[in-house]
Amino acid sequence: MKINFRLRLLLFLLPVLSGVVGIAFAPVDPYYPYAYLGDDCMGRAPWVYQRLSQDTSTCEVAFIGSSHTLNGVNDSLLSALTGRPVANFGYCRLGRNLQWVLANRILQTKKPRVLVIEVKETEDQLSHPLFPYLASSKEVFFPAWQWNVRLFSDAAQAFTWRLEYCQKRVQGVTLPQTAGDIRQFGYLNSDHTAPLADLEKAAKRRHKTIAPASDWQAATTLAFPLHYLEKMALLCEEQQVRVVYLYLPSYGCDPEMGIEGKAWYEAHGELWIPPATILTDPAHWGDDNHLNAQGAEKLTRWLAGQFER
Amino acid sequence: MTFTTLTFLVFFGVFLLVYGPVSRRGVAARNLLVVLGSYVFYGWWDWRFLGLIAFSSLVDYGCGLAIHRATEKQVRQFWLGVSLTCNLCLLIYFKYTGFFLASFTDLLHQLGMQADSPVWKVILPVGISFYTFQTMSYTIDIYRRELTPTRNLVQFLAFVSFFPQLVAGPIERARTLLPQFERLTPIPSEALTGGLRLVLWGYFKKITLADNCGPWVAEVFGQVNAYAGWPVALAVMLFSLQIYFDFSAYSDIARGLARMLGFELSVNFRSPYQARSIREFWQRWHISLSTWFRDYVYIPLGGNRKHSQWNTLLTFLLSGLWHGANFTFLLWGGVHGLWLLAERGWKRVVGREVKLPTGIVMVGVSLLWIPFRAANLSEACRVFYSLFSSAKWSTNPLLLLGGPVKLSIGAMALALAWGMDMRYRDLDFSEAVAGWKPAQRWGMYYLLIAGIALLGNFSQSPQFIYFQF
Repeated sequence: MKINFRLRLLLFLLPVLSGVVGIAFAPVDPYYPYAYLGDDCMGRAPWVYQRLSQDTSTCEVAFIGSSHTLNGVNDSLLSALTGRPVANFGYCRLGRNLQWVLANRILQTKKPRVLVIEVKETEDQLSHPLFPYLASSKEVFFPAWQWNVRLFSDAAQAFTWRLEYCQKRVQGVTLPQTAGDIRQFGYLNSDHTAPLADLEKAAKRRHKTIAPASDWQAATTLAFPLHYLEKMALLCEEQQVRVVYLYLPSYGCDPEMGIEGKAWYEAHGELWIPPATILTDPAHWGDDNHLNAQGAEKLTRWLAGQFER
Repeated sequence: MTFTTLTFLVFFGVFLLVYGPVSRRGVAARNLLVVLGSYVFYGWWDWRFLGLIAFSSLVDYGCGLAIHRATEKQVRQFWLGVSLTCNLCLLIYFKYTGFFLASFTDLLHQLGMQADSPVWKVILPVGISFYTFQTMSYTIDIYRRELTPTRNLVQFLAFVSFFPQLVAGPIERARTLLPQFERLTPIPSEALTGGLRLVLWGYFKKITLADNCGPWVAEVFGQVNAYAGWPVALAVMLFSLQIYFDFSAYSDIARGLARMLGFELSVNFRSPYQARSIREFWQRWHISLSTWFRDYVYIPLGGNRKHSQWNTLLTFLLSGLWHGANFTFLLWGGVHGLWLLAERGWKRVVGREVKLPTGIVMVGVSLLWIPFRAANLSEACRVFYSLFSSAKWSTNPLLLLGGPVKLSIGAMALALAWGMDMRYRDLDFSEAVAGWKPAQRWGMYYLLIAGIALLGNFSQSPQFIYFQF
């Protein structure tokens, strides 16, 4: 009787599961997930799509990272200083898996010569909240599982928006059209200067020695970010793209205090550490995490010098 | 952790996996697992609520035993008083203090006295109204010598916190649910099938129907001045459907989950909008609450024997107040009570029960949902006023409800649910389809799944309405 019930349940669920798999892997209008994110991170997702898929201009140097990169690297200025086309693909919040998704697309579509990847004093261990939206079905349903606490919620989120996409198609709802006239922007300018007291408070909080990652950490708690960093490094190696790891920490962090993944970055590319004059001057910070326009200009000029060298 | 979230599905899946092997170790192990699971489920909202439910359970467990042991009436009354005082104090503190303070301040203002309204912000523990009533009925039944208390604390904790019905009922009586925790019976595959059917039907009603009625209702009640005429009438009718599908869906899912665990919960809804009088409506709507008020308020007040009009009115006012600390609920309860009294008066004069067309009863009930849904009395008055004004709207309802394809699928889903209610007035979904041919049943299941997939709003799935009570 029990076997009978289980068999019946399995038979019943087979078409349902087929439907679930069908929805999860059904082709999706590539612009839809970017448009779905709309104004997230100041509307950068539609811009990223446009820059990669519609804008035919080349990109010799691509920057990827979080809002540290977004606020810190003035790509137009860097282009002017170096004479090379540069694009800042920084996207708010942390998570190496989204950076892998973006790096993969950038390398496919723009074939840059240099990929600059932002690094901080420590590696973030979590999946990026937007990974379920921008990653392909294969990437999101078969992700790196190591210590990934968002493994199931990522899959659920990815499935949910794909289901909504299918609903819209069936219901005949007009889907957002491809990004037409999004204004060009990469770098996000901020003229604000953070109050000194706030910066000092943050610096005090962050003042601690950071031990380099041990082999055990690399195999366990850091396995998730390192997995995606390694994928990026391998892809760059395959396509003969130079990889640079750019140290862009929060205010109050000093390379002397340690960089968790330093050995790893140096083994897989070049590690660039901006001079302390840029990172320790309070006048360069819009808040304790982001450089302001003045700081970004200093950093960009220093980067130009690095490229010249 | 609501029933419609992935977290709950994972929780229940894991619970079910463990449940079978643990149940084989005996009834004590099974009950302990139910308590642990229920506390995890409840603590997911806010772990601080666990202290409250544990306190409430321990007080009633102890009082139940004390009432049973005592031979003198005064002693029995004392322990019953302790139980009722504790439960009512918890309920009043968490649910009504802010309302009473604000009302008192308003009264002082109206009398021309200066008074600052004190700020009273207490989080309302989810399901407190439900489990408090459940535990109160336990001690009252023991006091009436209708029930023998359990000596097994784990059993009692499981009875109070049983997660399928913990946060929004059905409000179970100890004499029906507690014995189910005393025995361990194998769960037949029919129970699993029946449970799954109820769960599927519940998900369909909640995700496909209730959640799609919600946006237009929220839009109109949120901006009453921007709408008048038929868009308001549409919102009122949609709220009427929303609250029914939402709450009956919760009850169906609760009953289905419990059945899959080998427990039978009471029926809470029996096609209430098919009722032909308000009396019949209350025999079909939130049955576990209306019978609770009948047995523990109306009858002790004197029932039909003396002052039945006042007893009826007071019972309905209390029932309104149970839903929330607001004059809108008092108005809702009061008018329902008056309607019932009018029907009784008709019966006395004419000599037979009122039998109205179901549509008339539904329209009347829907109009009474206006104060229930409104934030305050003035908003309720504005909705009533705009309902009978000439039509105006700032957003086209069709835009918010979806395009023609979505509306057509929604109408078909609604027709399906309505048809089931009309055809099987006194049966639940599981009982209704049990007599069908297998192919018809499977066709219906796939239809429901397709309805959920095509119309479900998964990214912003709202809470069940009755969680706020």
